[in-house]
Amino acid sequence: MNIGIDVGSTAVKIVFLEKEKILWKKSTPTIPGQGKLVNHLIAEGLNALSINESDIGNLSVTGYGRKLISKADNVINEIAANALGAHLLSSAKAQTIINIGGQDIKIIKISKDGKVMDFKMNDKCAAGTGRFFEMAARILDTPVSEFGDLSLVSDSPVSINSTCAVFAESEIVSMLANGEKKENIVKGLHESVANRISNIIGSMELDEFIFIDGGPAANSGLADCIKEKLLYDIHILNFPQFTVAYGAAMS
Amino acid sequence: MISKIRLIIQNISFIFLTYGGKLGIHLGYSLPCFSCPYVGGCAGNCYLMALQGNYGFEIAAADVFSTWGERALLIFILFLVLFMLLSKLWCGWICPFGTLQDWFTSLRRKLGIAETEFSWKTRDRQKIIKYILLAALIIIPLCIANFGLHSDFKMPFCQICPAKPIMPLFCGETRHLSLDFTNSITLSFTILSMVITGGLFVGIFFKDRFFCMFCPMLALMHIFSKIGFIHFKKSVNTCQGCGNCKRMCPVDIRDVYLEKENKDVLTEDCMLCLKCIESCPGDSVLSVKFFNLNIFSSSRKYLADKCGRLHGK
Amino acid sequence: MENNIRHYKIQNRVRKQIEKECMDKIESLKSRGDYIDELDPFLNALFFSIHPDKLQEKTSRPVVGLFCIQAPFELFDAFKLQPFKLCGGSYEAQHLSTSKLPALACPIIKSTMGILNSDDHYRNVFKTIIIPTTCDWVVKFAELAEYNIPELHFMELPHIKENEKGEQRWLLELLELKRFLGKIMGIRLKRKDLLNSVNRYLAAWKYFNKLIELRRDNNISALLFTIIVNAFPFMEIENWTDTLKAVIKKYEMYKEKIKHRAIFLAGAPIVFPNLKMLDLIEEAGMNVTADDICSSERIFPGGACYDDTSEHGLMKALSDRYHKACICPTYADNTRRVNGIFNTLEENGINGVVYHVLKGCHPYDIESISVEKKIKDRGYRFIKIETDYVDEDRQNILTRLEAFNNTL
Repeated sequence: MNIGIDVGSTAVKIVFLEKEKILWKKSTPTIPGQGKLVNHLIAEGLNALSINESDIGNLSVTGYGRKLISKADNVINEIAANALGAHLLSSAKAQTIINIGGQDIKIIKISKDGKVMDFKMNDKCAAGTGRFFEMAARILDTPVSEFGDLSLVSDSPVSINSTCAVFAESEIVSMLANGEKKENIVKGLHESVANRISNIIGSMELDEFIFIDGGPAANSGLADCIKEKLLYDIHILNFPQFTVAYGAAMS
Repeated sequence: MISKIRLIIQNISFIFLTYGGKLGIHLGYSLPCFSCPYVGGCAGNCYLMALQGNYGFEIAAADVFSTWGERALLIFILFLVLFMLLSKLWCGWICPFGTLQDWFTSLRRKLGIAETEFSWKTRDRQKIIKYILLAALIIIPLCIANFGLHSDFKMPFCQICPAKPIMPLFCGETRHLSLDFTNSITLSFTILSMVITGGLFVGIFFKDRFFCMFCPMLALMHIFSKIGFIHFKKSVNTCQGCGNCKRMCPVDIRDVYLEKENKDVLTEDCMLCLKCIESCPGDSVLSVKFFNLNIFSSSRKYLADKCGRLHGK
Repeated sequence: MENNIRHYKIQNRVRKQIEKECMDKIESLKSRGDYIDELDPFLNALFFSIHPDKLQEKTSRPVVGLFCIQAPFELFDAFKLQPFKLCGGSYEAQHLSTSKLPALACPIIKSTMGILNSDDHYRNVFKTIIIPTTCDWVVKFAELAEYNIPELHFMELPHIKENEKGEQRWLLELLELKRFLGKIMGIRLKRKDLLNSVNRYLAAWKYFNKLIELRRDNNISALLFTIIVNAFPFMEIENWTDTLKAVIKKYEMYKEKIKHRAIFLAGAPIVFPNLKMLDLIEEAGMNVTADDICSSERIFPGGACYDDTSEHGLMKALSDRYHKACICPTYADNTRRVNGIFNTLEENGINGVVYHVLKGCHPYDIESISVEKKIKDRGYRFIKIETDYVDEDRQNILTRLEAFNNTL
């Protein structure tokens, strides 16, 4: 039984694995005191699976706060973890990964055996990341999980001019006030994120099988917008939010 | 260190070629350098003399396939062989007239006097002069032998070459520093010779290897440069263009500095003094090779150590 | 509170913050496991980099402000002047300059201006400031800092290296600089003095080269190497050379290979005390064993070899070396700049290049595009890190550097 933990800036994700199968997983928002939170989650998992601490094999940690967990057996960089996780979860089909995290966007090209070949990551500005969606969900009073379906029924998406999450918030509020439909705003959001992703990719050449993962990725509407923008087929990984934790556990 | 070795070899060659004849040594008529035959103790003749004379182009068309012609061909082939072996090293390491010019340069440097500079355009224009001289020393003898040009035009380049009055001075012979009043041709030639010699004395004091910029031997060598065994190569992908090679070159060659595509940088004026390679701070950027065998390559450590030794003087 | 008093209180506060920033960095460097005491004089010199007045006290020579690296140090030494390199690395100092600069300003300029503003007396320390017209920020600095322009000395840098005109124009600028320095010092430069200065710097280069060899062999951590080179403009050359000799002797006695992976660092300057990039590179498991940064290995181009010992010949050697050998991206024909990187990568078996760009620095940002393409086309790995002096992006950069290390 191996455990993989992705201590992200927005959420902490944990997976319990037996061989390659995910037996238990959970995601919870990050709070200060990640060490205690992680212990909580491990205890919860042990409970849910009715096993003891002695049954744990390897404890692998990755993510923004990986250095805060003292009892980790294995600490791995999240880009490498993401590469491995995506490689395994896509049955070795993934060649390019677009990861939309809580505060960053990563584009990772992986080799045939799941190793990182090249990558790009956004600079300081967190536009188009998980925070962006969180902000929108709050204002539209709609959970992010419904964004996909909403986006699909949009008839005329709005154009959100700012890539900055803070300024976009004001734009959305005034659009709502002007009676703009939710689905159009959501699709406009997706297009804005797709734009940002396209900018980060820049002149990097992508390899055919592109998968997206990360929390906000489980969103077919977003995948469609990215596909339209880049003119590549976009696939969504299974368990997109847990890919990185999975990769850590399998490393 | 290379420059020290070069200095020693230059001086030994000078003594050998200027006085070796007195010990009975004579290496023939095919030397690819200015070992002047007018010097009493010369140990081998400069090939230009043979080229202008009976064993060269002063040959009638009818005699080309006679023993004269055969001899001329043999001497030429020996010249080619000697050239192929050492290529331009003859100029930079062995030529006594070149060594003499370098002595003047040392004197100038000790006195702290600045070297004269030519603009890039002027320097380029000077390059044609050596080909004109080479052409003249081929055409004039041909005319003497075939078109009845007056025989006092013979050895036209030797008559005006500055080595003829200057080099014999080292054996105490001053007879070439004179005007020949025999006829108007000899007078004109000797006046021209004195003017050139005087001008050259000034020139080689103020400019490194001043004569070498006009030397017809260099022109002749350049025509055959592709068959030399010595190669001068540049790694164009690792040269950062610092310009040290251009600055240190005695004959102001820019091509080594500017070249970005061609790996072969042995240009027409180059005398393989190797100062550029010594002053190149890039590792293995410039190299001189015997076929593919590396003789000397540029290295930052070599330059840093060499420069560092200047302090404390 | 009166405006005057407010001004001084703020100035004092920031000056103390700058000092704390430097002392903290010095402490952290001294407490490193691989720190050797022979490096102390260099750290002391770096302390002067934020106190031009103390530098003037220490050296008996007049102090002259100097931007960039195109004006030869040898010339200042020959006139017995002490240059003060205007290339700030203090983040705290920026508090005194951000209000006087555009929003997206070069962090080095922000820092430099802040240091000069941290004490009203600093302006009087400099006899003059020498400004080669390199990038826009340097060109406009004096105007923004409200200096009296006619009292400064500008040198028009030809932005094309590979032609006769560029060569001649920079030589003219150097001759003009020589006249200008002669005028302000009231002395006429003797050829012997210039020759001795050039030779002193060539001797220094010989030892610097030894240090570089140790570095290529992965025996020296990048942070300690940077102390040595950053201190160079603030010490007299013989002092620097002697201290360097002692350091080299120590390293050669206790040669220990660093286990971190060797990489090449290129791009914008990294100046004490802002050594964030070097800290992060080390944390990510890599060590910089070669760089071509103007504040580091290229602080003095060395190799100003000459064969003409006349004054003209020496000036030509300096002019050539400081112009043609400089690889600043402000040059229009800087295409051969990557060749130096290739030379080093090939000769030392390094296969990764980290290219550091400061936010607000256009030349390096622009150049990164073509350099990236050329380096990747040759099969080497390349990562561009764009940052400034703030700390908030440490984690982001660390993640990227670690992943980069994995790809090597």
